Amino acid sequence: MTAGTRATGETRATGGRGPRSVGLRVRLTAAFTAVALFAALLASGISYVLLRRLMLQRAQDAVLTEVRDTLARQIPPQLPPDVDELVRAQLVEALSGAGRHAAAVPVPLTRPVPLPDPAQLDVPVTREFADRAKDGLVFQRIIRDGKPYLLVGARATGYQTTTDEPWRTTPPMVFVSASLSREAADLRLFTRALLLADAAALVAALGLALLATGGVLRPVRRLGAAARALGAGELETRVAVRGGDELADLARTFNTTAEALERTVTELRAMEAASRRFVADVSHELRTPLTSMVAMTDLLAEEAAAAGGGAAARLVAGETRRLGQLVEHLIEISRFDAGAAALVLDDVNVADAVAATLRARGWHDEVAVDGPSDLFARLDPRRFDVIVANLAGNALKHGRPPVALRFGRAGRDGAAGVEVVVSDSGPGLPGDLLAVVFDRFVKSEAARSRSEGSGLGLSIARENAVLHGGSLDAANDPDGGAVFTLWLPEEQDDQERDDERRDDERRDDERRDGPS
Amino acid sequence: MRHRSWTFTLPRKALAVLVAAAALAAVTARLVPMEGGLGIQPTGIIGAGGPPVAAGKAATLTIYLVKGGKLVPVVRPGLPGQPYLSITQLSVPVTSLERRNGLRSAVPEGRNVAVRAGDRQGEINVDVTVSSGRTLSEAKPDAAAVGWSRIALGQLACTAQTVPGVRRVMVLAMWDDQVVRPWMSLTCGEFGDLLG
Repeated sequence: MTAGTRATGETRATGGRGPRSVGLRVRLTAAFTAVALFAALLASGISYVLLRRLMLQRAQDAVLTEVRDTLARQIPPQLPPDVDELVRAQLVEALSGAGRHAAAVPVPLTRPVPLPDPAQLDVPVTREFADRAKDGLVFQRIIRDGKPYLLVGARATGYQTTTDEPWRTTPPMVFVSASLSREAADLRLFTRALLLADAAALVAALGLALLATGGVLRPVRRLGAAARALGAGELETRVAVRGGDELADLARTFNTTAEALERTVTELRAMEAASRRFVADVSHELRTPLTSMVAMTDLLAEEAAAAGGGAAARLVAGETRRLGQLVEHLIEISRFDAGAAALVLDDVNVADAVAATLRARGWHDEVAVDGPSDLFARLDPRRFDVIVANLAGNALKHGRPPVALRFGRAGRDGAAGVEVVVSDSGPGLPGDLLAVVFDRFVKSEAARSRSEGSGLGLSIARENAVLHGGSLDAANDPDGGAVFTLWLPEEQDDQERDDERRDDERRDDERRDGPS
Repeated sequence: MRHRSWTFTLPRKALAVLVAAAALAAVTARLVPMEGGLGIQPTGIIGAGGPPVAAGKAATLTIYLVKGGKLVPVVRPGLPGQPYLSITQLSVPVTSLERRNGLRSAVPEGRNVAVRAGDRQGEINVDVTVSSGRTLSEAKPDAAAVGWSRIALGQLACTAQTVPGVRRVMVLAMWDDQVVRPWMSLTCGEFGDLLG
């Protein structure tokens, strides 16, 4: 369970979740917003164009209509003689107004129309404009000094002149310049309003897009989280199926898959547990008869020795003892496999513990011990003994003397700890063995031929080290000889360990009692 | 397989986005030059229909011209909004048609007659500028001496009376840089002997 949680944490930390879903959200939001922006801009562009056309048309039409009406009203079909100046003044007065200036020029019969005084109008009148105005009502929009103006030109038609003095009764031509500044200001206001509306639409679209994509991506994220949890070993993970869309389909598929997976894995675990239990049970079953056999064969060997022979009996007794040790190791390792191994912690003087271990096995003369005598660590003394005995025994058996055991304080990854290094002066570990030396039943060829040891010793040593939260590593000294380095943390989490131990012991007892 | 199809989708999506952007740009480019950007754009010269038809309604004018030493009424077209136009028309040369008919005007030519409403009901004031008289001692210049013959005054008085509501003409003169007011007070009746 602990391992499972840690695995989940790592998966999250390495970030299977982040970039892709964020990218999708950004992409969806961007597309949504772009569409909204495009629609808003298109709508406002069209409305702007339409409104401008309408506004200008209305303004122009007003001026044009007024010019046309004024000319029609002010100029009678027949003029009295020599009233040109009066008519011009009258027309100018009638057509001038707010933002509007008018000028009237006499229309000569043969020469081109004279252009009006530029001071009278806001914009100058071109020759072409004056010529076009002779034939009808014309207008032109002109920008002058950044301000828009409408220039209108016209002369009345349908009048009668006297045949011999037509110049005396020809009506004048008028030009009117009307400022379109108000329309321009209105347009500017309208543009600003449109831009504001577009900005508001953009913000709203962004918000909606975020909401919508959130709605789509939340189930995806939930599915992702569930899949990660499943991958981390939480096989009971399921996702809630909502609605009937493709995502709900996917969720349903995920649930069926998870169910199938859970079923399969549960079966596999059950099978594995059964096989482990079988090994444990067999070992337990073998232990009792083997103990008797060891005692019996020892007795036989002694009797045979007393009778003067007994080489075969001694051999049988030795092999039986080895078999008994193998079974003990099997039981130990099956306890590790079942997670039933527990620490029984104590404050241990390392120097004393090492000395006791060596002395108990009669190796205190063969191993050179070096280390501070006041080094205390919180350890399980039995397991520490197993490890040290294994390492020292290995060195003595497979390496060549002198065998050295050094211990001392050593920190690792910021944690204070105790390091025990056992080195021999033998040939060292063969290269192909170095990687697998802690695996079960791995022996060097030489050791295998001698057929000593269970092949589980180093595995058990390492399991014990790991149980302490420490490590056990093998290496070759460059000067020759194998070097085994044990590192154990100085402090143990007592509470947790104690709880676990109680649980494990109970389980262990149940197991031991159960099948028999 | 799934992975491959995903990697193929990406360029296709990018292509779609490109096409959409191009379409957007095309639409905008099509809209904008047609209407010429923001604000009010200048135009060329645009025709807005034929010229307006002169249709001003004005009563005809009756003015008194001189034919053989007698005052003869003549009708001329009027102008809208110009009720006293008939009086100012006295100082313009007669038309060729009138001349062929033997008519002439005794009123001095030039722009020296201005008409405005009078101070009392039924009166109009006529401002005339007269050239300097020969006798400066008199308080009022002699009309005939400064170009206003009796028949010209008769033209003025009788033409004025054709204007509805006018019975009397007060003539104010600008003479030798001083305003003589009133110079004369005229009615058409005073010239009854000149009417044909």
